[in-house]
Amino acid sequence: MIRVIRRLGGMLLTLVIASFVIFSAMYAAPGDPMTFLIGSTEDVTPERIAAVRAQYHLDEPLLGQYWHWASGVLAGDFGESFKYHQPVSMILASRTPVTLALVAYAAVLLCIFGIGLGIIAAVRRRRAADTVIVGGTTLAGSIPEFVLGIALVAVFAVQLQWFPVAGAGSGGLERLHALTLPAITLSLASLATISRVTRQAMVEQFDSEHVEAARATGLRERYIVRDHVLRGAWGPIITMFALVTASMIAGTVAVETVFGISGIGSLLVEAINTHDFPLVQAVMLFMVVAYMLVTTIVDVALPFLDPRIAEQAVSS
Amino acid sequence: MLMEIRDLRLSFERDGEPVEILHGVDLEVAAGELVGLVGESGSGKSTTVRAALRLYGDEAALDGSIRIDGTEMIGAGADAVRGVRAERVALVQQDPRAALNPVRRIGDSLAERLTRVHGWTRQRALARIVELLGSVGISQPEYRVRQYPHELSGGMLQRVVIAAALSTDPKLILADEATSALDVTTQAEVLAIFQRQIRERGLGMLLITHDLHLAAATCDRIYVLREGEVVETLARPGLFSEATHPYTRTLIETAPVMIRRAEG
Amino acid sequence: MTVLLAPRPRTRKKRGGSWGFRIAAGFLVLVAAASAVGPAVAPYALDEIDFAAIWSGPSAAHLLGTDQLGRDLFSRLLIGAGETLVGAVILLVLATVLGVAVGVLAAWRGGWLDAVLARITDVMFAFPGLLFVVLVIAVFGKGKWTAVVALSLAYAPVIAKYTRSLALSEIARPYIDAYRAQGLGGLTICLRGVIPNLLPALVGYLVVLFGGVLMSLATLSYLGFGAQPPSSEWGLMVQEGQPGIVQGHFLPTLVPGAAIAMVVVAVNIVGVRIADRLQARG
Repeated sequence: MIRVIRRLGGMLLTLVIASFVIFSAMYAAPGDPMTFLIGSTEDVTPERIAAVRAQYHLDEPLLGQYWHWASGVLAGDFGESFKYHQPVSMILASRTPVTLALVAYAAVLLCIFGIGLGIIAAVRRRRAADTVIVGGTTLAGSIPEFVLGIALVAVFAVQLQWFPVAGAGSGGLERLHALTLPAITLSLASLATISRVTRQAMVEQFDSEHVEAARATGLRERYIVRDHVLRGAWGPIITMFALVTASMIAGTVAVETVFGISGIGSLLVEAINTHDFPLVQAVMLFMVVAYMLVTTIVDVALPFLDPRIAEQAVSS
Repeated sequence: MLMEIRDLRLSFERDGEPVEILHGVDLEVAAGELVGLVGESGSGKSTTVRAALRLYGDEAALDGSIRIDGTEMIGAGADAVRGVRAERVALVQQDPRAALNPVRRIGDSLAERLTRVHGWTRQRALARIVELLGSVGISQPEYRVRQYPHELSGGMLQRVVIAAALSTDPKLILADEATSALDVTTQAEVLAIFQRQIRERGLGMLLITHDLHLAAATCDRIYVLREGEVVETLARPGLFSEATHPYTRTLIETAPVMIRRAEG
Repeated sequence: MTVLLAPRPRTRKKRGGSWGFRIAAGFLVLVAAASAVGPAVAPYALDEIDFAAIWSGPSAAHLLGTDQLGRDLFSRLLIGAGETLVGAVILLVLATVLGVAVGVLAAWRGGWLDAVLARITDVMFAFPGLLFVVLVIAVFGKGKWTAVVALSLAYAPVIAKYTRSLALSEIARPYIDAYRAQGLGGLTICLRGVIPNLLPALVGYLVVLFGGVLMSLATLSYLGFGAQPPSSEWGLMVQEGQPGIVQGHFLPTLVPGAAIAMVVVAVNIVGVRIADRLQARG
């Protein structure tokens, strides 16, 4: 219990510091914050300056400014976008669902193929299938996501015309279809990690003494795999799976840009290109929070998932 | 003859080259006997036992003959091997903590071989387990079956593992360094349990150990294994006087003498 | 635990492990050579625009064809090799210097310094993927060197964390106390004793990290945050060539992409082998 509270406290502290970094980054820029926020020199009007000053409370000391921003964020107010002249929260709300759909799709693919291949490699370890799977997934993980995405578009969208070249489709089955290549791209990079961890966890179980003891009682192999090997292996597997899925959030930045998907990943890129700092801050904060949430949950749940860690915790 | 091993050869493939680990091992165990297999680490004791149960997969090449209760193990099909493992033999490993699945309760782990392999009902299995746990000297067995391995001490776990081995009514028990992880007192108790079970049930048992004095004190017959071959066979009580092979004499001289048990 | 007398044999993953290594190493040498002499031997200049020959396929005049501005792809690839790789190498060096210094310091001093550095590392790890780098670029503007510095700042904590754990076990060894007893100062001990001894493991780690570094830098350029036109850095080339694929012009975008991938694969193969060798020796 104390452990959980300490972990959560640590996460909160890190989160506060990270959000402060995100907020105060504009002070790191050359020149003063006002110049930085205004960005392009075209519309430097007195009204504009006043608007920016008001939104960011630039008259107040730094901590005060941060406080205004943070309390706003907690209430759901991320300020107003410089470019769209709309509440940032609205923009976020409209573009987040696509990204979530993409990440979820990729997670499903990762689960089926990543874990599946890992299991096959473990059960057929030291044989041809194992080598092929390990080699193949490592190769796929060595290709940058954007290269992979473009290659997939070239072959499957332009050449074979099985999928649309860009965009996320509009709802339902069409969206599923359009998100297929992006989801494959997003998950392929992490395929190597998941299948390796799965294989490793299972091989550890296979080579363990309690599995040998079970085998020595005459138990059939399929029960050994199900009740002994998988039982002990799924903890580390789920842990890594959660971590990898969380980091896919950041991977959407590149993948959405490749496929022209209007999610929050591409929103970040656009916002930077248009000097729309409130938007940049909001998207960054969102991604950081999401990532921290998942990693902390995994960290806290770890003893329940991985029996070896639980044993250490109990005996200590 | 419960177990007959003749000219057993085993080789592993290492870096593409076959490496022979066992060079023609001969040994036998009859019902009612407690036989010792003694040797240093690396001599091939565990390998012999594992090979006997065909616990090695494709990575090991076996040659020779291993007959357990009449069934030839080398070259036998998967079903036959499983049958022998289920009905005739039980394996007791050195580290009881490693032998039990840490995420399962003890009762579930022990019941598995009875329910899954022998088709018993869960109630019948649990009743038998509780009874057996009691007979090996575990207190409050009905409570113990619901505990996890990490909640019990090493000595108690070893008894649990022995009870597990006995639960399927095997004819032959293979004990691989089953007492090496225990303190001297517990060791003596565990061996007493083994000896009683052998007498009462007419079992045969192969006790693998590196402790020569222990073997001398308890076994009816001893095989001395060195680098994959049996170099000497000794029958009690003439261990110390009759040992002729220089290697055995070296083992005797270098083994730490703890208590004058050889005379016992 | 029962000692399995004959450990379950670990089969060499590839029978032809050595020829895979040789091919990868040879390829890297080739790429390194291209980096060095590319600009000198390339048949065309980096920005030699030729509107008459846009999107043309491979021919005698243009080995790999041309891009949307009629620039020769092969030349740009050669010239871009240096840009792509040098940036990555420099950034790794920067990150290593910073990371090792911080990591060893944290291990040596311990106490509040270690705690502060741990907290800083935690904050940086709170930013998944390239997010921290993207923030730096949002603040300081796009550009190749901004990207290089930002990435080195992002990789420094990773290296620092690894170095720290290596250093901790190294410092625990008796010879360190021997140095201390001789009256040597902390800095000297670290420089003469600790760092040289953790180099094998560290170098192995860095070589494996290099692949990821390359990919990160290329991704930044692809997004427009790193190298800027008219540079022919490979990531940027992929971005500029992308619009052509709908019209069936695959080469301008896929060739540089494939080049990046091949270098990363080669680095991984060579890197893993080097890391193993160093591990075995250490």
